[in-house]
Amino acid sequence: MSAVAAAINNRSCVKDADRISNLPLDSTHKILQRLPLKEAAKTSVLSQHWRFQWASNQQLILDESFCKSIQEGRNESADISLIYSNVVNKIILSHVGPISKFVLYVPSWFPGETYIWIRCVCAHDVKELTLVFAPPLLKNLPTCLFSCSGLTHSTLKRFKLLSLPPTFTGFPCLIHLEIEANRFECIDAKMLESCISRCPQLESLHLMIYEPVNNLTILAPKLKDLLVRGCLNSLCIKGAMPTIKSVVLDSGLYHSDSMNKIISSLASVEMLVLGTFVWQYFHRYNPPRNFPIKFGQLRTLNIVDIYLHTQSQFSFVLYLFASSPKLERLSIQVKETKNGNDAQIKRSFIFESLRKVKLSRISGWRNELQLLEYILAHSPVLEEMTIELSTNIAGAEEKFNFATEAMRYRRSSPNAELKIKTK
Amino acid sequence: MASTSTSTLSRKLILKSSDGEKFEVDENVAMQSQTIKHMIEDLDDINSPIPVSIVTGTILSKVIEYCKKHATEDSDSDEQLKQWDKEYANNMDLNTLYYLLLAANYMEIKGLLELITQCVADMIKGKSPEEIRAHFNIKNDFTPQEEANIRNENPWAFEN
Repeated sequence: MSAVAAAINNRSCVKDADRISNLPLDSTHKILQRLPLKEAAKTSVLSQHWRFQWASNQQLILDESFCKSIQEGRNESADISLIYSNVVNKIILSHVGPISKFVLYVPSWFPGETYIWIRCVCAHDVKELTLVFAPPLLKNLPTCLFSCSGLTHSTLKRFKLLSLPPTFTGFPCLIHLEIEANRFECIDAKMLESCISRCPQLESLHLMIYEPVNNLTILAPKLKDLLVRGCLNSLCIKGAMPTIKSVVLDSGLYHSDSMNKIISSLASVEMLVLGTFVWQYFHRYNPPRNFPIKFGQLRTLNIVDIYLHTQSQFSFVLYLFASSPKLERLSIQVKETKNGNDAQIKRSFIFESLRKVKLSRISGWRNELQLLEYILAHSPVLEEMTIELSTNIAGAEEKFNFATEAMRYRRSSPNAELKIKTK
Repeated sequence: MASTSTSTLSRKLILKSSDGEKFEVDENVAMQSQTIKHMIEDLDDINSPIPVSIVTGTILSKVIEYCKKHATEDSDSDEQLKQWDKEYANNMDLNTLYYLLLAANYMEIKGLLELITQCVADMIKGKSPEEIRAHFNIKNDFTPQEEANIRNENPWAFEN
């Protein structure tokens, strides 16, 4: 606090004094952290005070735009790979003090090794580590990464993982893990499972897997937030998970059984997103006649790109609604397609807690209107219904007709406000 | 997102600046400062003024302006709030920004701290070292030789 006090005491001096060089150290670092590394490094030449400020910044972000900034303006004959390697060496070697966050994007034109850099930042007791390989590079994760036992956040993209080092005992502090794999044959599912199961504190897991193979079983007893995107044969979340609060499922699961299993492990979920891939691959899924569980805690439901004209998808969301008595916020983005079959609403249930609804990309098809009419008529505490029209409804007359139709529907909530928007 | 805004009926607090100026604010406005939040927890008498000892009245009124805007999160969209933040920061001269940054740091107001540091970072961005020195009145205390050496250490930082 002495720096602050001193700065305050200097208040009376001239208006154009050098303020920025008298900031407390952590404020200076906060400013530098908001600059791209190249801009931050430039401050080393400002004055003695600024000489090593950038080098003691605890966040070292060598991301894609950093690579571009190194590449920019070089002529083609320059050995960019060598230049890049020298620059990164220099940055890491000249770093002063601990590194809390390290981001490394390995560009496709860099064939060299990265393990020395990773080993170096691990020795600096790194807490948050991001390692991204640009395609088509397919590199093994550096072995030393597995001995970074202090990691709390880790993002690993497009790497190869076929075995774990025998000495690997786990990441005892890891809270957030994000993995993206473009080619699943490069990752052994058993290894991935084994790796995840050795992170006892894991609360947040994001898996993005873009090639349709393999079964995956997740064992993470403290998981709160799960995101699964891409294609999987099957996904099994082991054990009943009372902790899980938020799930983003954007994945086409090839096994009908698997979908049911996942759904039944989501009983405690408060926020659920069902994304594009779910609906795209929905025809592979045979939903049960009676829903296996009640989503007793579900408050926010977000549905993206549903084919509302398909009876199976239409009835599935109705099942969902009927099983979610605490649902407060609902958002449905409809996949814009030619009109299909008319679906029927055969059930009868009330949206007891629904307050806010947003329907987007609405074209005015019968099924959309049916759903709209049903929600308005069965939501006694509804406050706001926002409808975003699709660009399919272009003419003023069409819009007017839609609005007239929508206004006509009976609203069971006296406070429901209907908003119609065009893009 | 909106979790705490509707909680209890808002109590009033009195904040006292370093130069003795007093400000009456709603509790949820003041609670955006982690420092004040912790002070209140330890306070026996909530009606006595809370000293914000290193912040002057002029600066404190600006801090409160920010906190008031951000206490009513439901009223504006994120977009509108961002626009407001931008105008708020753009209206400050360097001196004020400096004291606001110190105040935000001391009072632990995360959003304000982010706003001001971003604003200062944006002033640095895209400028040459000479321009940065001129903008912030930084005195170059290197000899030309020393300066050349530093540039040579990290030539990549000075290329365009």
